[in-house]
Amino acid sequence: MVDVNRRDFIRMIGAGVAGLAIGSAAGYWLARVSPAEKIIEKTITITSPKITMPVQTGIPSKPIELIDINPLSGPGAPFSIPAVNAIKMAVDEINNSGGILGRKITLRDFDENQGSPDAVARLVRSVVEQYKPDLIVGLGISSDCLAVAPVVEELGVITMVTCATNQLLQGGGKIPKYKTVFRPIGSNAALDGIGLALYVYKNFPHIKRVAGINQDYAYGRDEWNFFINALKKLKPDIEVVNAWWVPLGTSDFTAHISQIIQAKPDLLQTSIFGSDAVNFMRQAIVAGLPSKVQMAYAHAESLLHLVPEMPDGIVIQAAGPAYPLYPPPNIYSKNASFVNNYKARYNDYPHYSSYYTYDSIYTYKYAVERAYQMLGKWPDVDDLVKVLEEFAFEGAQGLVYIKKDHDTGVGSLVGITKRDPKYPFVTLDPTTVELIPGILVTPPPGVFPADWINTW
Amino acid sequence: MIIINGLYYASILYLLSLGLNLIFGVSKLINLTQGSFYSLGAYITAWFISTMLSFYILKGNALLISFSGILLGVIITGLIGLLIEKTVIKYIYNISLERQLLATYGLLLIFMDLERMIWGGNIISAPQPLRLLGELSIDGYHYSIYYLLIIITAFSIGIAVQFLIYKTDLGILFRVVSYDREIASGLGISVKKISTLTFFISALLGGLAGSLMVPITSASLGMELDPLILSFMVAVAGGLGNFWGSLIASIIIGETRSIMIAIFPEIELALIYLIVFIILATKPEGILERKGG
Amino acid sequence: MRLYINYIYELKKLTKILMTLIIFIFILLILPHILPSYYIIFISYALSFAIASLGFNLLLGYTGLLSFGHAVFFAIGAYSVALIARYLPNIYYFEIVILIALISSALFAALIGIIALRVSEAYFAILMLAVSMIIYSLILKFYTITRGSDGLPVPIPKFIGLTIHGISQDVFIVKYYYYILISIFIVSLIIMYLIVSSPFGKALQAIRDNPNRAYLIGINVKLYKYYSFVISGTYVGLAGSLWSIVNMYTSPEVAHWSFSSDIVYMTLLGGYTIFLGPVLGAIIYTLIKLYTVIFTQYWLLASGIIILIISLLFPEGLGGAFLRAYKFLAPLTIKRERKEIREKNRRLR
Repeated sequence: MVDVNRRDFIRMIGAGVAGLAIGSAAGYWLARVSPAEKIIEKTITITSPKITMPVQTGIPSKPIELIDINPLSGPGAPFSIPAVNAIKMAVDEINNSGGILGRKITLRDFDENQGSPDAVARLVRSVVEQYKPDLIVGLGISSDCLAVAPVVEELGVITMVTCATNQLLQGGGKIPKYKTVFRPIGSNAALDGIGLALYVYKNFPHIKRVAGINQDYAYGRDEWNFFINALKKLKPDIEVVNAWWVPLGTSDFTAHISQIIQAKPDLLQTSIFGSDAVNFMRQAIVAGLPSKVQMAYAHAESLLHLVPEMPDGIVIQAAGPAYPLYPPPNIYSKNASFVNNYKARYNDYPHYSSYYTYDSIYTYKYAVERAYQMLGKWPDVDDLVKVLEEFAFEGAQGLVYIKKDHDTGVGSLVGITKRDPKYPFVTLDPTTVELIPGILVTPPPGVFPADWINTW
Repeated sequence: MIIINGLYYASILYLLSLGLNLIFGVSKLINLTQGSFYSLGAYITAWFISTMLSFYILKGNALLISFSGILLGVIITGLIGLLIEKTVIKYIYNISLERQLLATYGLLLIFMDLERMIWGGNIISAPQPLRLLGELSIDGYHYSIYYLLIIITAFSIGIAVQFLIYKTDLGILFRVVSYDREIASGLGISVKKISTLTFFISALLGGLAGSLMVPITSASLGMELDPLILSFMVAVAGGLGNFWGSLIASIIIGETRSIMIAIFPEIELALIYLIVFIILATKPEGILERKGG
Repeated sequence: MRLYINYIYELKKLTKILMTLIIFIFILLILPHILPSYYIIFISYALSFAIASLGFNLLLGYTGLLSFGHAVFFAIGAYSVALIARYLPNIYYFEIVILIALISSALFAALIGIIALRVSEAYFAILMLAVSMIIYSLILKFYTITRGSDGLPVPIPKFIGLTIHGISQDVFIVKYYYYILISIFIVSLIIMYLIVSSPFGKALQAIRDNPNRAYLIGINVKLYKYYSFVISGTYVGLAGSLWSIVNMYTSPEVAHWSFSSDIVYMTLLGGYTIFLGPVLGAIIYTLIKLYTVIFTQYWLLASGIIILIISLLFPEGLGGAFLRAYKFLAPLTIKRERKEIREKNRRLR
């Protein structure tokens, strides 16, 4: 054994302990001192002396645990921070008006950006173990949804996702695929791809040569698949020039863009999502792509807010039905009040993702209240699942409707960009905006969209 | 054209690998923290440009702001590099290879989270410089002159560094220290000062790479990982410590990437690593023999 | 007299080692009865990582070769399991997939080793990095087979002669798989111990300390390095396959260089000069990775600081510092053996 004198030994151990202490203390301290405080709060308890609900029977007294898991960093962040804002707004509204049947909501935020889908699944597992939530809202990245779904199913937690993959809820024969997973309002690859295909077919009948650039993961693959197959069914003479696949997290598209321009397609379809989308759009604009090739962009409502230099004439599929100017606020008051409240609080227009989370939380609220009306007690998971299937109400973005396979049944909003100086973000020309109905863009419950398109 | 695309990416890799080579040559340090300098330069520049240009008054001076932004990014990154050299890095010089890798990796993680604390999870874009310099029209599509600026800058810096090392008195000091630290200090050269200076220059180079790249790709968390590992490959494939080797290696990798995206976009990433593998396997000394320094 | 003392010493050493082993197994076995099931899953992770770092250390600590791409073997192990589960469910039996994972990683190591070991040590590290990144990009790009960045789920395997159904996967892990893991871990530990204390193991250490001298005394340096490489690759592959079942999922990240650096980190954390160091490192690494993420948003910062401090202040890892403090644990340090005997002898004179 090597001789270590007492002083060295003590120094070493002391340094080691100090080091670990500093490391963990730093970590712990920093967790409490977060600069992103404006969107991250550990608990919200708001006492409202004015409104008190009468105490009702069969209702637990402890607060409702609401967990939200959204990408707070990484490529998904720009699209999901408005979503988290809306969650906070919804929770505050509900708590201020007495909570759900008198129970207040406690909100906890977590970052979905953990490095890999299974890391998110592990996070969900430990969070559920720790906090025993009543509801989980979020999960905007498709790969994460797919990894997390079996976990929340096993642990029996109602989860309302915002991710856009059909593989989550369709296919495999079981309806619903996961009992506890819902996508009450949102978009999926079918809504995006098929909606865009229908719109293009109707409004751009002269298109023959189509190219696509999409991200190489569940959503990207499916969306392109549905788009091009739907379009081909409608218009058999469509010719695919090329389909480029970029990995998630690509930040430099210059080479791809030059290739696309060189190929001279009639239409470029893309569904690139997240901060990659911002990079892509910006680089495309600089290279002059939109003026050379007609672009059709799926799931792109956020880009209207994030890329102010967006040119006119681009076909934008808004990511499902949500868009601040549709239903027009002057006609539909719920949208108007949502937009105004959001603007007042966050000094920004809500993005599509804000509608999703906001309406998801209200879905839960109304479903619980309905179940209580029918059963006379606070619903457990199975009760709630029964109520939520084929459930409908009028949310901030319009009709919210959940099909039997737990996916959204509302339609797909598509329009063409045209700048309007009245608004700080790029808007869609109202004369071109169409809400394609859900029955045209979503398959019957449980049927995988690819199979459904084949039957057309 | 594909060639130009390959070249600008090669330039960025070259700048990064230059820093890696310098610090390895002089101080025998494997420095993964070079990646942090890349992202720091990018974030500072992006933040500066986007913030300044949001003030309407300054909009007219966009060009000036852009260049100041880049300059600022480089200088502040260099100063940060200087700071950590004096506090932490000096302990890392003399430890074994594995521990160096680990220690600088620890620093990389720390900086990643520091960036997150300061700038949050959002990406910060500053695309203005791309548009401001005008465009070239080749074969019907436009190329922002900015890309050429990157290539020219990298090339000139490369030449400047070569000049510094081989033609100046200061360069002689660098070379002596890189050959043998003991003899150098025996000759009265302050090895500490030279090491610090080298690290400072290295940090400047890393920051420059990031600042130049940010108008194209925006600053985001984790942006430094891919360029870091690729520039590492470049440095090693070119022969650690060998500047011409890294120049050639960076061009090979940059062009491969560009060409592959055009022809076989499916396997672009795999192919780059395959080429590195082939280079390392067939010429273990790197592409060119180490010429020393 | 000296022979007799050496004999007693060896006996004492063996007893101490056996005792430690038995205590260790005992602790592992009673844990499910005192800890909530969530912790058992966490220990299962730690055990699979421990096998990986144990194997990795054969190459690093004993043969002196640093590879920055060993994640590739982990990925091969994990993806063997996942791909069979998906495409060949008829043969998705635990015994079969583990065997296939072992064989695939061994074959891959055998193949790569021929080329990789020709180069000098610094380039070897980067070469392995390149290899793992090639496999990473292949996994990523062949979406139709591997589902790319989505990853593949890994369901409960069937067992030959026994079918487990009707329980959820995490109950499966806590009730059954945990014990399988413990047994495989102990077996790998014993096998590794036999390897490193055999003449082969000593030869590896000689190669690490001075390859030229080793060559001159007749050790076939190239061949032994190759064997060491293949064995370490197989161990890591085994670990990957076992891990994939605990994780219930596998994704391309396990082939990425950042995971390779995690393997290196684990090994160094615990101390690569000590036999059990990597095991300790794996446990600490799992703790940091899985636990801090719930409590702090800035877990990268915490990990970074810890890595920095340990790499600077603890050249022998935490295990090394621990063992230095407790001399009676000396028999667990295989490496110091010659020195110990010399010391003992010196004290007796």
